Amino acid sequence: MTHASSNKWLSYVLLTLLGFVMIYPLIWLFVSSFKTNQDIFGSSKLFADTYVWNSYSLGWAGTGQYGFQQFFVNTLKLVLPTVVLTIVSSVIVAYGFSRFTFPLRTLLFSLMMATLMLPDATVMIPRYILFNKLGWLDTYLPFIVPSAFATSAFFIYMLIQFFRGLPRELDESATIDGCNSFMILIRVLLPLCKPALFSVGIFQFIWTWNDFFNSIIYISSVKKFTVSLGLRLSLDASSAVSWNQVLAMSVVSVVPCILLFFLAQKYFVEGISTTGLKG
Amino acid sequence: MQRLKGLNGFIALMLVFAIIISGCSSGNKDKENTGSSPDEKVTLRFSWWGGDGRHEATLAAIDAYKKVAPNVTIEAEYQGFDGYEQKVKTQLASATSADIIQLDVPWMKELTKNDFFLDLRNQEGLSLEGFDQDFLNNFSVYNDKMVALPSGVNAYALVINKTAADKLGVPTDIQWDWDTLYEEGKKLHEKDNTKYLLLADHGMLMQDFTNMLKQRTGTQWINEDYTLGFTKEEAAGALEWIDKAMKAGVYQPLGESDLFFGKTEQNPKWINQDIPIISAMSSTLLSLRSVLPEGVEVVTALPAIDKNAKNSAVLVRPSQLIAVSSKSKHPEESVKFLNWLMNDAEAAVILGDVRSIPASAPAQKAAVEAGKIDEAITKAVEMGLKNAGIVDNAVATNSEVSALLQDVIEKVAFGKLTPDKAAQELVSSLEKKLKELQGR
Repeated sequence: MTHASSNKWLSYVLLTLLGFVMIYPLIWLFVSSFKTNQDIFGSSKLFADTYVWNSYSLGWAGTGQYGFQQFFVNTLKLVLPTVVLTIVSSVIVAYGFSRFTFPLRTLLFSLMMATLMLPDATVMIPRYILFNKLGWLDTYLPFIVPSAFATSAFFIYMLIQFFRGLPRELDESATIDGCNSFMILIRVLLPLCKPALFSVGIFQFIWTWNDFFNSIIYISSVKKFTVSLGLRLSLDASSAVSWNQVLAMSVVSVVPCILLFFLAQKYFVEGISTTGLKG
Repeated sequence: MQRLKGLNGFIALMLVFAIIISGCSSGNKDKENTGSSPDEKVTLRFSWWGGDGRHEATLAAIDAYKKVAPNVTIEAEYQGFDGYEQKVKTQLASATSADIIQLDVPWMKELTKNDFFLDLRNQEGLSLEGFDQDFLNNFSVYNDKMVALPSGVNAYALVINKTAADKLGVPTDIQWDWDTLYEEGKKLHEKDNTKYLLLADHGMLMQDFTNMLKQRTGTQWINEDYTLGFTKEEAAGALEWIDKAMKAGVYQPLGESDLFFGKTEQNPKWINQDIPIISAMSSTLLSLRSVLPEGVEVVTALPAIDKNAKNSAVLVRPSQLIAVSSKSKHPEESVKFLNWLMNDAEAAVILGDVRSIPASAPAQKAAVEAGKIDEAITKAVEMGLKNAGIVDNAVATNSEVSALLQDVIEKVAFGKLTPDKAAQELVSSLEKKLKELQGR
């Protein structure tokens, strides 16, 4: 008995230590947002001798014409439609691939998988030219519209795997009860794959929220900048950077992702464990 | 089944081709009438990268330009340095770039292979008189076209923390040469082994090495015709100095300083004032100073020059270049704005030194008179221009050549190769690479 409980204590101590190591960068980020440049880089100590308290207000106000309030609103305008449309479109496409047979199904499936393997850099320029011709540059459409057409093969594949794990007998019994194929999806399958949907949503939210490269390519006006662009707005090798303001805004921009994760944590963890994906 | 596979493959192939073809074909946009009357409303886009100071000052300048040309609206597209290069290249490739574009010198060789920029020679409303003509020829002219103007001048210099140097007994009023650097550095490190005289990452060591070569030979270190500008013995001599200096603790060990490559200002030894001198481009002075406590005095000096130097080898280059897109719908208005930004006294006073010291003489004068330019930076640039050395040719700055040099310098700095063997390796690998480059 004592042996078992001391074992338990030992593992708690180890886990706590490990947890602390994992979360230390975030703690450092938070504490450093109150330090001066000199303290941030000059010493490896967590706590400094002098603190500055205005980094959040100055950082939030931003420089030049626009502040972080604008950037946050912009990011939400971009991220929310993208996430919702990704979920809807990916579910429909995944449902089709997992439950129906139709002409060229294998070919289309392999094409879809092929896009998963395609490095992003290779499609960058063609995609840019396409959106340019459509006149979508400097808008959020290059992010929102493709998400309405299930362009992330990763999510489709993930959902297909999840659908395959749901027994077909459920569909059949629903058919007997008078459901058409769409109603089967809505009434029977969707409630069951809630964990997978949450995973898709959270992944897409965090990826789009943090995405820098695509945003910088498509968005030119500072008025439309997202948070990830706003954070790097003042970083340049040849000018003095107020790192505490940059770090302060990093803390603020991490908050929505953390909140979302904790709010949806239950479903999220279930989602990645049941689809067999390693998060 | 087998047949189907073949058919599938064929269809897939066709799809891929279709995608490639549709992606590559570029549309011919109808050119709008470029003649604009003075009252016509014109919108220009101006893109640049920078930090807070540059953003604020440039936005203020754009605001002031409204009074100069009320019919012109300028849309500012500014960001940090991250991603700017990729973005500009994408925009240029698809003809969506801003009308007025800030560019960096290393990109120009590649970008000027296409016809992206307006030839700024003989443009009405653009005065080139204020610029140093040699400087323009060296950095603005590519394929016989003047594609961009330097927005400011940057010079390689020693950035000296005078407060720390005084405390450590390091002289700050001498012209450094390699011997004095070695002796002072050795003395300092022997007195207190936590202190070093110089901070240099591999990039700066490479610069020191090529400077030493150029000063001793008086020529390019790699010639335009793909031959070496130095002998094995000369290379060994220079490497010997680096080896000697490393072992004596003149430089902070490379293993520590290279952790902060490209972000020298974050090096704790500099911040805690254990190292008084960095050799760096003058434009980085502001960020180097920003991490030091208030009241610390930072000055500049000419970089180390050999006592018997045949050439100073001091590097002077534009801080950035500004070009006008050849696809601009309003080239005349763009050129006029560029002229105002570069030459006008009012603009110069607003901008100050946010793009380093203005390259155009009247603008420089106005900014200096208004007290908008940091004294230490002015001094570095003035000294640099006065003592400007050979300008590296494109072969000498080729990235593959640099990679070979970096390899050898690192091996010496880490004590893995003796200077003699390193010189041998450098010469043989460079000769091989140069032959390969010439063949391309």
